[in-house]
Parts: sequence; C-alpha cells; structure tokens
Amino acid sequence: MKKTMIKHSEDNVAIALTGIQKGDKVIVMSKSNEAVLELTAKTNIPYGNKIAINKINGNDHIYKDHYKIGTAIQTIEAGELVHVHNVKSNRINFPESIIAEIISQMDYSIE
Amino acid sequence: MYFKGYRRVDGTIGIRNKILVISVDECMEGIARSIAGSITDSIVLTNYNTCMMGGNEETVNNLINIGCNPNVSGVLVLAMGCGSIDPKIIADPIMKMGKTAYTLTSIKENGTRSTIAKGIKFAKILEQEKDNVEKVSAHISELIVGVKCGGSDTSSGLASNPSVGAAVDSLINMGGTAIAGELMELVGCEEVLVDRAISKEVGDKILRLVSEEERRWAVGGITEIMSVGNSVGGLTTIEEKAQGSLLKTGTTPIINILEFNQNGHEKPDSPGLYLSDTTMLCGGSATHFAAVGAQLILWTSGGAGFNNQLIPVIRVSGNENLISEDIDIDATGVMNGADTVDNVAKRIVDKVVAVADGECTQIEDVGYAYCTLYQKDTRLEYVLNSCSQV
Repeated sequence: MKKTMIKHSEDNVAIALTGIQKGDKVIVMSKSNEAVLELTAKTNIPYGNKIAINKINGNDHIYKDHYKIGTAIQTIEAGELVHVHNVKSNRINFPESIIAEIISQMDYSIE
Repeated sequence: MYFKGYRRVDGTIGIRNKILVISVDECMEGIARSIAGSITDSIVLTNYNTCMMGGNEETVNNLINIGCNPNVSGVLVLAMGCGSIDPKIIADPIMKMGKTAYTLTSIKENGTRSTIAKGIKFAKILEQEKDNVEKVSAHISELIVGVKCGGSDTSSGLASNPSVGAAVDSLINMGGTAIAGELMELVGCEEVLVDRAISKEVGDKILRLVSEEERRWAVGGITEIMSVGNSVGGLTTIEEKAQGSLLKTGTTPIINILEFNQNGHEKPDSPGLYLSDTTMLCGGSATHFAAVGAQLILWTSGGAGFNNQLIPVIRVSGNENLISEDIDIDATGVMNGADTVDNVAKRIVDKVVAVADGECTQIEDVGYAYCTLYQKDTRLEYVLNSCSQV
C-alpha cells in the first residue's frame, strides 16, 4: 500500500509520499495521519506529485490545502497524475516547450 | 539568547566582518579581483549592467545599502573613469554611516598596474581596521533575518517552509525582525497577505507591488515563471508554489512591504515581519537582503546548496532524496512523521544563534553564488507604467 497525504478534507488531490507505479494500491492519509480513502493508481505518480482522489471534470478547480491551485483542462480520473499536462494556472502559464521539458525530465510518459 | 558580533559606528551589529570591493563598471572587474585577492574576507561586487548612471539608479542605491550592511567593515569603490557612475556617490553615503570608504578611478592612476598597487594599499588599511574590531555581546532581537526558498519541491511546502515559518514566529516573539521577498511567488496568496497586513495602507501596497511583479514577469501572458526543477519536484502551478512559499513567513502581522526602486530602498524601522521587493532569483536575493540590513538568510530547499559571501545562509531541507552534507537543518523527519515542525523550528533558532555567534554554516567559505546586482529594467517599468515611475 503506497502512502499519500491529503492536506484538507475538501481537496481533490493527495500528495505522493513515495513513488507510485500504475496499478499500485494507494492509501490516502489525513494530516493527522488517519486513513481516509483507498484507491488504485491509474498512472505512475512520481514522489511529491499529486494524485486525483476523485473524478475531476474539465474546468473544475484543483484544490490542495483548500486553495485553488489551478484548473483542469480535461477530465482527470481518480487515480491519475494531476500535473502540468492536465492542469493550467489561473494566473500565469508555462509555454508548451517548458511543459514538454518538465515531462521529459520526469521520465513520465503521457498516454 | 545572546551572541557576539561586530558593533558598527551606526549602532548596528554585524555577525561577519567583511571588506567590500565594489566595481561600478564591468571594465574594473579584473582590477577589483586583483586587489581583493591581496586581503582576507574581501568580497567583489561588480555592476555588469551599463557603465552609465541613467538606468542604474536602483543598482547604485543597492550598492550604497549593501555597503551599510552591518556585516561590512569597510569599502573600496572602483571605477574605470570613462563611464558616468562617479564612485563617490556610492562611497560618500557609506562614510556618513561611520565606515571607511575609499574611491579609486583607474584613468587617473596612470594605468592598470598602478591602480592595482594603490588599491592594495587602501585594501590593507581597511583590512587592518577590520581586524581591530572587537566582538561584543548582542541580543538575538538585533538580528534581521532574510527568508527565502530555492530549488523548491513538494517537501518545501510540507516540511522546510512550515519549520522556517515557526522559527520566524519565535525570532519575532523574541523581538527580532524577518524579511521575505519573492513577490512573484506570492501570486494567489493576496487575500491572506492583506488579512495579515497591519493596516489598510500596507494591504493596498502589498496588492500593488505583487501585481506590478506579476505584470513584469508575464509580459506576453505566458512565461517560464518557475524553474523546471520545481515542477519536476511536483509543483504544477505558480499558485501551488506560492501557497507553500507563504508558509515560511510564519503567522505574525506584516508590518510593511519594503519597496526598492530608483528612488531608494526602504528598510525596516521597527521589529517584526516584513515583505519586500527582494527578487525570487537566488543570487540577486542575497544582495537585496544585504541591502535591507539582514545579517543572515534562512533558506529552504529540496536540496540545492545556495551560498552567499555577504551574509551567511542556513539551508533547511525536507527532501530525503536530495538532502546532502550542504544542508544545515534536516527537516526530513517531518515528511515521514518521525519529527515535528516545532522541533525542527527549535533547531533552526539554535542554529541562527550559533551562526550569529560565529559558527560556520555547512558550506561557508566553500563555494559561493555570484553576488548578482539585480535591478528592475527602467524601460520596462516605463512601458508597464509601474508606480515607481510616477
């Protein structure tokens, strides 16, 4: 069981506290270290990255620690990586070339 | 809590004892390094922008204020002489603060070799003066601490930034002062910042300066606003980075936001927490912190070993994959539940006092970042119609 942490009860993403492989069973812990949810990873989630803990529709806000940290640009299924390929900033965005560079440095293949 | 430092004529207390060799134009860089190499504890600061006064007003203000930093004992200001930045406009205000400051203009000295020879004579006098300063006891409340992150990743928002924030709260409760900057990295936190401001005026000024910084960096609407490394480490948007970044400022009220521009550099006038125009770019942030009078920097990171000659840097990391011997405070225990933010904060405060008392940080005197003199581009300010132009 791979550990992730959710910072606020109304968040829709949890943070991977270890590297997670597609198909891994994932447990979501609260800040006070109580298990709140179990799910299966649908993609790899590198250490420190965010996993969707429920289905997020396109144009929905991404909530982390109760703050809006961006907007989904497509449907994100529960268990998928939430990052620069499926989220945009509400303030200032990266050029496409930088998004490609981030993904290549993460060694993460987007299906 | 007390430490021993170097009392300056203006009453401030230094925790290091350095000589500044300032080169007002890039042509003097080699001469400056030759002179600085002849004495101990010297630092070269070079203006690499243009050698003209017009457009460099903010850098000149920055240099004057760095010269006034309590970690600096004496200053030598060098100019080639064919540019329009008169070294005396930097040396004179530093002398007014009670420090020795010499000037030297190469084209008046009959060549490079004789300029270096004369510069070394001045430098030796400054070195002697520096070595004669005796250390005296001072209270922790006399410290001004710069707070900055670099090489941020997910662990920064969970471990190192909250720990530094709790340490900042303790330092301020003991009467000290802390200054944060990186306004671009507070984009998205405006509501929280305005709530923490001590007055409506300060809140309005925060909104104005954060908005100006956002417009500066978002010309064209799209930009590489945070490093690729931040995103590889799990940070998706500038708002997400900002929420984590904010945690290192603790919870106390924001006394003011210090503005830097061609008209001058604001400095703290009472203890407490300040925001500032200090750049998010690491090398330039250290010179900015020096210019507001900070004696040391608390720096949170994934694992990068940022270091600076002017003011010691205490590095804090919570990333077990990137932490190295460069890091002064290990906050990885917060990530795996083995340690608490309050425990790490106590260790940070103890380290602040020890470093103020003279203890070297992990990589002090080993490898330093360039002392970048960052300033806003006055032409861009004009185009954006920023307030500082009015």
